[in-house]
Order: sequence, then structure tokens, then C-alpha cells
Amino acid sequence: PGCENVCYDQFFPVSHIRLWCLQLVFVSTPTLLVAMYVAYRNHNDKKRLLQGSGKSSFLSNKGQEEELETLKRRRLPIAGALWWTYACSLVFRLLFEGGFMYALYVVYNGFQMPRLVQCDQWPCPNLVDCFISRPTEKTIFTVFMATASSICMVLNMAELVYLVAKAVTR
Amino acid sequence: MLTLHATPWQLVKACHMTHGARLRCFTLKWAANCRGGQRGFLLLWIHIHAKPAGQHCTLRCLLCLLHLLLSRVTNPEPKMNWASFYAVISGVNRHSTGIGRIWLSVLFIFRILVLVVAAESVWGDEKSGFTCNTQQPGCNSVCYDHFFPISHIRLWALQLILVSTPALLVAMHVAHRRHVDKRLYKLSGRANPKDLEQIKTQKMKITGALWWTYVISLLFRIVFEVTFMYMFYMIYPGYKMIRLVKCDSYPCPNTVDCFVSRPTEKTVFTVFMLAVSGVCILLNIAEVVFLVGKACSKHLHNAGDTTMGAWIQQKLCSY
Repeated sequence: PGCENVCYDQFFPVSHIRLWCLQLVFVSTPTLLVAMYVAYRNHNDKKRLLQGSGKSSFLSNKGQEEELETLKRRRLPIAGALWWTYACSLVFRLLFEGGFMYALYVVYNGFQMPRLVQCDQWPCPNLVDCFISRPTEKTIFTVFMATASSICMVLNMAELVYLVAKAVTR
Repeated sequence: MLTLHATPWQLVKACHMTHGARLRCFTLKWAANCRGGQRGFLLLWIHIHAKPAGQHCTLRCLLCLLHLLLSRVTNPEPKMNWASFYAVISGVNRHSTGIGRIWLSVLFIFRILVLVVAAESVWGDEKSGFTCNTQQPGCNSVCYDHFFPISHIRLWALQLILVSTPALLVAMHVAHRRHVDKRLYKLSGRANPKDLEQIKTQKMKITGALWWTYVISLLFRIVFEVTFMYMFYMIYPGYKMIRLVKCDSYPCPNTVDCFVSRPTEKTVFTVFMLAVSGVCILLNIAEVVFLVGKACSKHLHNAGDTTMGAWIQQKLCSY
């Protein structure tokens, strides 16, 4: 008893599912940075608008409400500090995606799930064969997730190149 | 009116139509049938891509989806209803400083979400996977109980609940202030519904007694976090999960080897949660410093000749 636990722990330090979960959490976080920055900018603009209209009282209530609504719904052009925030978020996304794919590759020696692993850790007697459940299905899903991850990386890189090119031409 | 007792589909439909969040219908239909680890991923996708047409909208739609997904869990064990917890705590979001909002996001995304989606499945088989090298009945249970007085998952859940509770103090204070304002408005005769609505939705400035409540809640948060980290260290020294424990409590014969399931994965998650805990403590300390700094600079800027006592008096009395 105990051999199973020990062998499992030796060959699967972190399960694929947990790795992908953490990867998704980390990769989605930079987007929040951008959202927070946009909210912060909107908040500042709203404050400025309200202060401005407070000083000049000839602006009607309805006009002010309309301005506030447009402020909430407008799409900010990606320029200035927003450009830098967005570019940083893209770089971080790329780093996290690449980092996690590399971690998966290193921990599991490639993207294929072996059918049989041989284990000779204590307390297993001599050499012991351990069998993994559904290896082919797991390989298919690992390859699928790796492909989706690389597509995301390619898209992020394309977006970064596009942003830089647009800024340079401007 | 969205309540937690409506069925998940009612909540989702109400969300979609009244608040106009850009949630994809087909994704939601898929959400109704998805289970297991997929729900966490879907949750995150929806959170990121729901149109930020206002905090209320995004938060309510997230609440809808949380309720929808959690109510579909087919796990026989009763699960903690994080959806209602989220609803209560995110109400405080409006009245926090910027750093407070960052803290709240870190809390929800890196701690609660990771706990619910990933950590609970890692610790799921901790009792059934705990094997001892003996046939003696009862030895397994006794050894497990000796080495794991309280599981990591339960400790983290308690920590999250206790750490989020001081935010309720702030929410209660804000509600009290609003109530007083409404009464004042009514007494002064300006009782048209538009003004009353405005009181409900306006953001409170963190001044006066609210400042003190906020700072005290921050201090409590820091104290709870540090206490739990210390408790963790006391119960599980070194934060590392051991592979093998040697047990000799009655009724185990002599000394028995017991093996823990998935020790490395548990160590990884323990270290991760510890790191995020540390980040949260730093954020809270930064927020305290920021608030105190702002108050001091305002005091120095405003009045040159008021005494300290008068300043404290003013702070406590300005409602």
C-alpha cells in the first residue's frame, strides 16, 4: 500500500486540468487591467464634466445627461497611455501563454500521455508497472488545448504587431 | 428584480434583457449543460467579455451565471454558495478606493475562483486516497485525523469568509448614512423621488466616520490574514505537503507508514494561495497608507490653526 500514491505523485506533479485552469486565470487577468484603466479614465472624465458644468450653469440638465451617456458608451481610441496599457497587457498575455505551454511540455515531456509508466520509488517493490486511464483521449485533448493556446499566441502577436505598426505610421 | 430564488434561466433572461450585457446566448445554453472543470473556464470567459456597461450590469450577470452554474453541480456534498457571498461583497465595491477594488478583484479571481474550480478537486480525494500500510480497521481514520486536524480547503474557505467580513461593516455604515440622508431630505421638504434615487446611487466620499470605519475594517482584514497564515504555519509546518507520515496512535499496531495522495499538487496550490495571500496583505497595507496619507495631506492643506482635538472632533462628527 502506498505505492500507487507515490507513483502517481512522481509522474503527475500537477494535473493537466489544474495547469489549464491556472493558465486561463492568468491569461485573462491582463484584460482586467485594461478594463480597470478604462473605468478609471471614464471616472476622471465624468468628474471633469460635472465640475465643468457646475461652473457654467447655462448647460441644461438634459444636455448634461446626454453627455454623460455618450461618455459611458463611447469607445476610447487606443492612443497614449491606453496604448501602453493595452500593449503591456498583450505582452503579459503572451508571456503567460508561452510560460504555461513550456511548463506543460517540461513537466510531461511532450504533449503525449504514455500508456504505461515504470516506477521504482519506495515503497514499491523493485520495478512496478503503472497504467494510466484513457491515455489516447487525454493525448487528443492535450494536443487540442496546445493548438488552441498557440492560436491564441499567434493572435496576440498579430495584435501587437498591428498596434505597433499603427502607432508608427501615425 | 433579480433575486437569488429565481430559477437560473429567469435570472439569465432578466439579465440579458434589462441590463443589455453582451452575453452570448449560445454560450449560456451550453453553460446549462456543462459540468466539472468546464464551468470555471466558462465563468471566466463570460466575466471578461460581458460588456462593461456599468458595474451593476457586469456584477449582476456574473451573479446570474454563478448561480446558474453552481445550481447545476451534481456533487452530493453540500457546496458553499459563493454566488450569494459574491453578491454581498461586491456591493462594497462602489464605495472602495481604487486599491480596494484591486484587492476585491484579486480576492475573487485568484482566491475564490481558484479555490472553487481547482483546489477543491485536488483535495477531493484526500481522505479516500490516504492509504496506510495496514489492514487494521480504524487505523486509517485515526492517522488521517492525527495529521490533518483541519483540511487546507476548509481553512482557506474560513479565511476568505473572515477576511471579507470587515467589508460588511463598511457596507452597513454606508447604508446607515444613506438612511440618515434620506430622512434629512424628507424633513427639509425635498422629497421628490428623483432626489431620493440620487441618494441611493451616489458614491459616498470616504470622510468622517466612514473613514474610520474603513480604516478599522482594513486593519481587521490584515489581522485576519496574518492570523490565518500563522495558523497554517503552525498546523502544517513548512507549507510543504509530506508524502509519507509515520503514525503510531492506537489502534495502529507499532508504527505504520501512511501515504498522502497528490502531495506535490497540494504543495503547488498551497504555495500559490500563500503568495496571493501575501499580495492581498500588501494591497491592504498600501491602502491604509494611502488613506492615512490622503487624510493627513487634506488636514495640512485645509486648516493651519485647528488643534488635533478639533480635527478628530470634526472627523468623527462630519456625517
